[in-house]
Amino acid sequence: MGFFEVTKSLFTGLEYTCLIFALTLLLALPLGLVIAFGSMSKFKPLSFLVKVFVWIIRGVPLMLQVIIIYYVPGFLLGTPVFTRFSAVIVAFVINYACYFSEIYRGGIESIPRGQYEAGQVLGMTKSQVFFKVVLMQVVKRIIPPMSNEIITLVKDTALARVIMIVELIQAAQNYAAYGLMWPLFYSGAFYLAFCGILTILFGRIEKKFDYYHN
Amino acid sequence: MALLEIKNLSKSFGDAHILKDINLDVNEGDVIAIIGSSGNGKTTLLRCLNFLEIPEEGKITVDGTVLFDASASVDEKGRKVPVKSIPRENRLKLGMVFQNFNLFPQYTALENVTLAMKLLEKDGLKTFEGGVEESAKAILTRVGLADKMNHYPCQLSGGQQQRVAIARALALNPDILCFDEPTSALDPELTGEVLAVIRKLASEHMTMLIVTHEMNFARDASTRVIFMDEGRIIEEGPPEQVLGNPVHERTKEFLKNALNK
Ligand SMILES: Nc1ncnc2c1ncn2[C@@H]1O[C@H](COP(=O)(O)OP(=O)(O)OP(=O)(O)O)[C@@H](O)[C@H]1O
Ligand SMILES: [Mg+2]
Repeated sequence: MGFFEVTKSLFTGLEYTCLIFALTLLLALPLGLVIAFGSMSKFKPLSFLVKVFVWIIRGVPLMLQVIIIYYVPGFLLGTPVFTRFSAVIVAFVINYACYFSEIYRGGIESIPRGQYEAGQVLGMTKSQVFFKVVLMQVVKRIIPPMSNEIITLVKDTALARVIMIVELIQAAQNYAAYGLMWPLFYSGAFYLAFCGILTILFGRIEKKFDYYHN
Repeated sequence: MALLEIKNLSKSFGDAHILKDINLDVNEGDVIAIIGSSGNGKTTLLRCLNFLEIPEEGKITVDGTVLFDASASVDEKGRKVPVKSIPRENRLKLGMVFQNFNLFPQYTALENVTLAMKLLEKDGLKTFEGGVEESAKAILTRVGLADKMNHYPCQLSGGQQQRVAIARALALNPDILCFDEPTSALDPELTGEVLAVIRKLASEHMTMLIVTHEMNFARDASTRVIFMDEGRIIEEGPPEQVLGNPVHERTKEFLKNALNK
């Protein structure tokens, strides 16, 4: 079991890690915005329901959500509903969409009312004000909390192993059974590199918005 | 016929009756200074005229076009219902300059001016002779910002920001321009440049409603002064009269405090 072989199997684990990461981002970013609008809705029953939902999802461990989504629907219907992988994706997307929604909401609510009013007296429609005036300011404000959350997501992907998905850590841990410890540290280096790249990327994006401040 | 006619305008927030039966005619070229102590509804009046608040009662007419008429708002059974929304084009007759500018921070001075112009042109609500960019540049030059067009608001002084805000409002060619304490957020040494721009507009016969605490400015730049107290206009007339020889006790009291400051 040499370096080459370990690297190869860690890369197989990394594939799952990357897939979970990418799919979760791709789906949870827009879904989070929908949830944010729901929780800010003027229709009180809707905003109440959405807030309760977000509270539950954020208050219960993601690990438990993964387990429940994988086992419970199949148990109730007597036939498997989700594959391991799709159960992980569903749980991660819902969970992260709720976290993102709170970041969006915080960002949107932090924009001063005067910005909307200025747009309105200039004859802009509500959606023009949102897309042309507010959105870019929201994006600037949410980049730091978003980058935090997204870096957490990289490490959370490891939770997929509770339903036997061989992601990066599981791949490394398999060698520990043979008394081989260094793959564990090796897998840690993968995470470090992953998060390092993201940190640089978010730093760049933040810089792009540096040309103005409020 | 007056350019702007305000009839029986009333506005409440919950139980608080803030504007009570406001009636006012504004002629073309009038520069009206609105004075009064804090909390008496001056801002609310301007906000109602710009439909940032929707009045419960009253009628607002500009140049013969009815922009708002609470009594005409009835449901299919003829019962009175509150006005919910205001047609977009009705917002364009009046412009508004805010106390704290409300510029869009992510856009340059020029982009702040052109943003709404472009959207209105695209939606077929307005056209700008000579093109959007050119007329925006001309207006920024008029307010003395020819060399600051590509600056972001955070790179401008308060006085310059407020002049961008004036240019932005002016660019849409409103019939009437409203100012809510345009210099109150400025350091004293910067108020002069903003007041100078407003004076210049007055000399060009721009019709304006200006809420202000600058009594000297009200005296020498306005054609008429309005004193508001507890949601009513209780005194109005030429500046010499209202500021120099007020009739009403409340006006006298207010001026005594305002001039002693
Ligand atoms: N959105 C609102 N909801 C509830 N009350 C409001 C609202 N806006 C204004 N008011 C109240 O209406 C009253 C008049 O406010 P307004 O801002 O019009 O006064 P003003 O004459 O402009 O005062 P100032 O000189 O301090 O600017 C105040 O008592 C204020 O608290
Ligand atoms: Mg006010």
